[in-house]
Amino acid sequence: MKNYFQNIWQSITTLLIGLGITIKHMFKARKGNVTLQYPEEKWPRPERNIGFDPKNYNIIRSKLHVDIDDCIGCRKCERACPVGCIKIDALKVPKETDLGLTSSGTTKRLLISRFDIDMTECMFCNLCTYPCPEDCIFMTGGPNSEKQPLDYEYSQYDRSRLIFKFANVTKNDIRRITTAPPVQQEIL
Amino acid sequence: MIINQKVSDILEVKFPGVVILPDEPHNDFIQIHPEKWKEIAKFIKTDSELKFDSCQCITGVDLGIEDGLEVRYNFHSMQLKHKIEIRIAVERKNPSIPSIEQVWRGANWLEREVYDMYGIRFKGHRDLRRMLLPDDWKGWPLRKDYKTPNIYNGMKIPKVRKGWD
Amino acid sequence: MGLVHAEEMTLNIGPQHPSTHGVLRLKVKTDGEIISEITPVIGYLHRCFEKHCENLSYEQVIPFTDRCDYIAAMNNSFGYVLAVEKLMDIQVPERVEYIRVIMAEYNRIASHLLALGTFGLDVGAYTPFLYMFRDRERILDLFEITCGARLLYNYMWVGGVSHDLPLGFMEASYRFLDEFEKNINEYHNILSYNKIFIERSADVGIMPKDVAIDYGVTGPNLRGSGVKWDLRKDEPYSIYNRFKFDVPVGTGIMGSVGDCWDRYWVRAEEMQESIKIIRQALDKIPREGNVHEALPKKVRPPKGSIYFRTESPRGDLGYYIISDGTPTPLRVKMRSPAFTALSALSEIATGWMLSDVLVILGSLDIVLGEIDR
Ligand code: SF4
Ligand code: SF4
Repeated sequence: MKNYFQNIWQSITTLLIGLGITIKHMFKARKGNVTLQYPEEKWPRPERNIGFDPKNYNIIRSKLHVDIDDCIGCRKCERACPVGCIKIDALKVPKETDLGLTSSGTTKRLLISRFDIDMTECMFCNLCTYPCPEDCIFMTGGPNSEKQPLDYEYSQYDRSRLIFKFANVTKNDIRRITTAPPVQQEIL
Repeated sequence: MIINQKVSDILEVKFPGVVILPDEPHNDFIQIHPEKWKEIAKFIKTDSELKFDSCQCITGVDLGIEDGLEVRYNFHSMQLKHKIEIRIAVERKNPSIPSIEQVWRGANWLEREVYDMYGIRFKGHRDLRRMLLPDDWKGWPLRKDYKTPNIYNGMKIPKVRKGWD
Repeated sequence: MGLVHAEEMTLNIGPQHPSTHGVLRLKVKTDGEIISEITPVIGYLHRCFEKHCENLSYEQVIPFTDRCDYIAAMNNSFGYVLAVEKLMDIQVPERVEYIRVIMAEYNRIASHLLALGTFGLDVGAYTPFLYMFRDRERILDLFEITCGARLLYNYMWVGGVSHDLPLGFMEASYRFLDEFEKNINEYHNILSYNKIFIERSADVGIMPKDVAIDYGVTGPNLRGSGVKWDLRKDEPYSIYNRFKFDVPVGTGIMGSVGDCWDRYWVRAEEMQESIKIIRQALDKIPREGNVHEALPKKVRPPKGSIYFRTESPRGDLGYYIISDGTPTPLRVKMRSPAFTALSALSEIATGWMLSDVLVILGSLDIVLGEIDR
């Protein structure tokens, strides 16, 4: 009987001692000793040296990026994608509206109201970047790093936030641009 | 390739009327009737001039809703180093064909896979079960008239993902 | 004394088991320690490759062929693009041919390294596995600078390759080959001639010649059984007829012909041959050339069908492609070599001990992605 209570007493005291140590550590916790609040905080990316300069790579497949200002809305990338993870809405605008030029000098004729890439579905096959006439959809990093720095993590809290939206026109813009201004008809 | 002509001639002598002569001459394959298939298979495996000892591939084909199904066999001879393709057409309703599983043991799984995808019954196959799909799958998925189900075992299959239309 | 009741026990290995090399389930009936019946159950990794292909255009199929055999993705897409090119009658530039052969052979080495390493792991040798992965890593680095991906490349395209060789590829290749040739001897000393390894693998899981042929087993498994059959030699595709190399076959040095050790040995020797091929190709490759020159505007093969075989690291990889003249194939069937190799398992593994089954399975070098497609 005495043994029985002694066992209980021992287990309680040793447990408490252990708990005490944990609590002491809890208040002593320094930064770096506790869980990293990923993705707000990140460890620095370790250096990687495989004997080649990343600039000399043919390509680094990290993340798709679209220079939306250069896109002419030809949908070639959308059609090339095997899994259908690119969605483009391109609106016709009245003839007179000037949407500007791309960096290679092509006149833009369509207003891109939606350019979404679902990165959860993308399988990084790189098929979409080849047919683009303006070279405005590309994988970041490597030889493309002067256009866009390398991004390899892009972690999010929710899957739906991995749908990257590249279009930068607002609803108001769309309404303003697509409704044609009254055209003055010349009467002969 | 001359081997097709040779096989066709030999078969014509041994099993008259079994080879379907093509409308226009070609050298790619020979088409035969399914009735005596197992005997023919045994013959082309053991005949000293043919010796097709390896069954390389069995492909089920659906040529379209109006046309029928077809099974295509690719054989190869490791000893004589030649190969041949044999085609056998089956009708869409109750398709069945003699099994060659007991002739080439490698045909066992290949036939099961064709059965799995096209529902072609191989008469005489000793273990004709689904191969790649789950046992309770309904329908023959590679047929052209297959409709993708909306529900599998009570689970709804979403067509469009969240945040994407 | 009561009666001793004896009955067979059914064991379930997998679907998640470190020695099944993927999601494979083995239903094993054991009589004590001896296997009396073994049934592989597959399909856990089925991704409807063939159904997918009926809805994709010919170029879009290529990334999916990579995903079938993810260990040797280059070889898989190589076979596919060759089949489509044959169907369309495209002649690709010299430089592309050489690049493709170099890449395919590199991938063969990488695949064999993984096969040998994991085979050693199955037997219980951990160290060689790490050494082999170190070398495989360097091949993957070469792939990475070339096409940006390390495992699933989408590198071979119909009529060309996606990128030309990058700066510094040649020098890095020569450097790697020089070092790797020495490393192979190291592997032989650490694993191949190790007494324990030989005891575990020699004279185990013998696959006689006729059984192998009857099951349609091809590749290193068939050559391990003593059949000299290599598509690169006997039915040369691409430009393989320009290279000098041997076809190693199993001769039963440590046991009898067709045992696990022979299959292992054939793979190890094949790496040597691949090195030879790569060296010749690197010496002969035209220095100039546009790899996108022969890319067709539209991949739309004429009506017809083709069965085209290439030698992948696992054996004869066949593609049956039927075209109806539209941009999407009517049917793409992949004849996967690992599929037929696994179907022979029930024959060659019966009668062996349970622990031998995993050794036999490892020696067959199966990739479940390719079996289930
Ligand atoms: S990389 Fe491939 S999967 Fe991803 S968006 Fe481009 S085409 Fe589609
Ligand atoms: S191919 Fe290029 S230009 Fe055309 S829609 Fe896509 S990103 Fe825009």
